[in-house]
Amino acid sequence: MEVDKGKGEAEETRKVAEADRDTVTLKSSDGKLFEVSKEAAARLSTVLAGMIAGGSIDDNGTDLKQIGSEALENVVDYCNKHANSIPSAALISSSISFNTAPFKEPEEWERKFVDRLSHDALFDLVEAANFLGMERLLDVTCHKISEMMKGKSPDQIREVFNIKNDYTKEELEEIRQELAWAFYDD
Amino acid sequence: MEEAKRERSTLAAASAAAISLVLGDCDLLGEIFLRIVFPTDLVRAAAVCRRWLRAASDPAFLRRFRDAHPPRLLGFYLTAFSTNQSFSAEFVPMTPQPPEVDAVVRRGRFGLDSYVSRSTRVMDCRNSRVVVNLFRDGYFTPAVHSPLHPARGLVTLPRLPVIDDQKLYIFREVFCQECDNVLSYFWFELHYNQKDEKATADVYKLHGDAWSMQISASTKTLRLLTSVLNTLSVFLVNDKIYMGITVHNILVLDLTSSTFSTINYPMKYSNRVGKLMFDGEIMLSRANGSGVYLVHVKELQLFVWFHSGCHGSMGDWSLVNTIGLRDLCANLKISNSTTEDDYDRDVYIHAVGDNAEFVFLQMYQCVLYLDVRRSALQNVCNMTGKKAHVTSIHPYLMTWPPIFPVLKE
Repeated sequence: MEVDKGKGEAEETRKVAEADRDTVTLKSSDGKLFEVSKEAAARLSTVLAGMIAGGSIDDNGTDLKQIGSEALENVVDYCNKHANSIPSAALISSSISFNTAPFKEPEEWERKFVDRLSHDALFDLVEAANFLGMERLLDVTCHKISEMMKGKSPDQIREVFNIKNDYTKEELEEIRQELAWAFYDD
Repeated sequence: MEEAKRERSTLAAASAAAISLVLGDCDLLGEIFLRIVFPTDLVRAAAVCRRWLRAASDPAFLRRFRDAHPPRLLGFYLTAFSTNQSFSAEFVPMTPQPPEVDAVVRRGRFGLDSYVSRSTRVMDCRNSRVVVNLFRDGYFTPAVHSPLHPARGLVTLPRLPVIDDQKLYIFREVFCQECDNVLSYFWFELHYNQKDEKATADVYKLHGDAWSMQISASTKTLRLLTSVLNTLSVFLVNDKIYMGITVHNILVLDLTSSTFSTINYPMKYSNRVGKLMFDGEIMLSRANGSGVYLVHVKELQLFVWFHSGCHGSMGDWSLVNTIGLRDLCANLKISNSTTEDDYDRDVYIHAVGDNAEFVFLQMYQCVLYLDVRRSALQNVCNMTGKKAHVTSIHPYLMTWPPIFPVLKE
């Protein structure tokens, strides 16, 4: 009885300690552990926010089996950078102006953050952001991928993204004719 | 060069799995496409493969893209009536433009001068098509000019129904409407019978190579001639013709049910020497989805109103924006020798963009472009010394939505 009581108390203390901690530990599919600011994780990821609120965060590392260590490292890095960044004046002013765009332009540090990623890492990060419900990170990464299409011909886009052309010659010609204005430089 | 080489080599090493996981997900592909800024880039992406074409031509996606990136204004057609009693229309490009847009404008063939015509007037301008009325061989001939599709050339439409000398015409124009990728042309005329105080709308639709009467509907309109607006705003959207013709109300003609309805204005008119008029100038414009915008300029103040429904009272209007023009004009150094009290009489509205995103005004001899969202005013054309006055302005926007060919599966 005594022992059980003591164990219960210890459990209680541990839970309180965990609630007091300002970081959470996440575990990648390949078993690596990462610490991330609890506030930032809850703010940036709807999935992590739900887990934190629901108490399903494991102190020994919350399993995220769908996310590899490289992608998770980038997620955590992004969250920590986001926690430290002060919204720029431009961002503040654009949010109060007559702005109907459903998304905001990436900030300078966010641009730099995705620019240094390899293609593989970028696409893995999109998957991770999508899985974790990280709207802002999804915004920034999708924006980067869309920029990789900018100003390119269909052939160049296929090469960049390794996509097979499944059109017939006639079909492609039809698209080019009907939408000639979009093919201005070739 | 190094950059390109590095890009290729990382890709060679990249597992196609990561890329195809993301690009294979329809929702993610849509999110990526949504962040493409220029429609030109979207069209090229659609030409990559069939799946991308399907994603890019999805109507729900196209609506989101339009909201995120409203079609850019490339320029405008200015129709002027000159002292030699004829109309002439010229294209005035908007500058500066981003290089992507500039490339499209440079490749386009905007001028109408090469067409044989003694008098040329623009009637409508939708999705990169320009409906013009040419006077050739003693007849008015409506025709469609496609500046961004030079290969199409000038497509002449059948001649218009003959004018009935007994009728008093208020409005006679050709409209084009695009609905689910199908473009249709409508001939719309509104005439008035003073004895019965009835306005009659006749709508013809182009079928093959002939105009066929679609509907004819009348509505009681009291004292139309003493209550007519300085600038008529008439447009067709979603099978409805909105008519800002008199100070009494906005007439809406539903083409599917052949019925009229009315919308009251948000402001009151006054009686000046037997003529009913608003204080200042007004013009209506389309709204994405449903509803109508109204722009009102009064004493160098511009008001933007929005009405969400079709039927309704004055209370359904909401004032969405107010812009003071005085300071903006002062910055452009537009002035006249007359006193400031004369200002309001000198501001005209020539055109309002969809969703009241922009307004073309005229003050003195200057045509001004007002970007409503940014409250920025720009002097885009000076009429001084042109021996002509501005009849109408038709904004020319980047083609939207792109009409993708329907491919066999």
